[in-house]
Amino acid sequence: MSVLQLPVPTWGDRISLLPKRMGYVLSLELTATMQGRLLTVQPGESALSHLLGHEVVTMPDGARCDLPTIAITHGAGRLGTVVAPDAPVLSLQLSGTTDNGNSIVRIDATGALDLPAAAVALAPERPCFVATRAETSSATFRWLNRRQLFGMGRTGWLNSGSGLCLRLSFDLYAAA
Amino acid sequence: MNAADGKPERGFLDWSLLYLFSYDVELDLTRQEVLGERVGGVRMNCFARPDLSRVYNIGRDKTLRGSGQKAISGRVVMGRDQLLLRDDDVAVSDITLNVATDDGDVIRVHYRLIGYVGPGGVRRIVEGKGDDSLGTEDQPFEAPLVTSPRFETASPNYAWLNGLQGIGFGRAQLVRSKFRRITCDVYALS
Repeated sequence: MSVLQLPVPTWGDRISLLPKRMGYVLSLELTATMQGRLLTVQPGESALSHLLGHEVVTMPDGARCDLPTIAITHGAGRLGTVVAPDAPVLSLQLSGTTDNGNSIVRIDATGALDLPAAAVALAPERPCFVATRAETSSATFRWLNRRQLFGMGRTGWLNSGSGLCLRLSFDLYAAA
Repeated sequence: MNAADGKPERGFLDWSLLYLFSYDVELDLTRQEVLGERVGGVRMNCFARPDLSRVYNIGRDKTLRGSGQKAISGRVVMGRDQLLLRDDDVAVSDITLNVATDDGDVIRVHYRLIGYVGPGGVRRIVEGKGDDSLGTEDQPFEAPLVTSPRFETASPNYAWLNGLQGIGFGRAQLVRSKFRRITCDVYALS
């Protein structure tokens, strides 16, 4: 019995989805104090690392990449935008050093977090999502300059010495 | 990792992808502006051809599977890509598409994109001539794309898009080192 195989058009009227792959790369843990809609990242409690402690990961496109463990040294961010403070927007600018202390990595993350000012105290846990861009001069971690990572995250609250802090946890995935 | 027992402090977070729409954009080959060398790379602007660019649901469904929202279809009335081809062979795009839906609303789709074009790739795109250029009419060069779109609309019908972070899996087609077509499937991270 023969099976009719219809050709799948690549361009124009596609009737099938393009292939997609995503793979876990790193996790980002952030603790930030809030002043209104502005976030100040707490350095000692924020880091970027592999959840299982792996040092190398295979990207969805097959590339093997060394993984850094990055201690966030300073960072800031905001919820919403200047013109729309309650807009479901999260933006973060982070800076950190790799575990060997030789390289500085700068990370920009923008994405979606719906945390209206009126609901801040009521929100136990909310999903948040970001797309990141990184810059580093490290040859080992040069792949960070070339890839966008996608963060699937959750918010939480932490009562620390500096008051109530916003806790952001992200698992960062590479896509191809 | 938890220092005491070597176990991670939390498990992986749950997530899924919700298919939103697909789009095909035909780029205007006569309007690709190379702004020239500047610090860090070469600037280039590309524009979509509204008459040949459209947004559609891949399954031709009336509603989105998994959300029940109305499926998105329409045409791209304005599309532009401000591209920086960096010296380290990384392309950074700043792309805006204005989508006019078939039911009369307008959705702005904006995203930045980062892609490694391979060793010497930037030079081949900017200066590629003859055998050194990327792709021919018979055999276009296809480059995979991953995008991170956000959406803005004032329409109550599509207001649910405003709070979403998207991810797009696409292909760019180059002919004689000129960007000719882009096709992409857009999902919401959820």
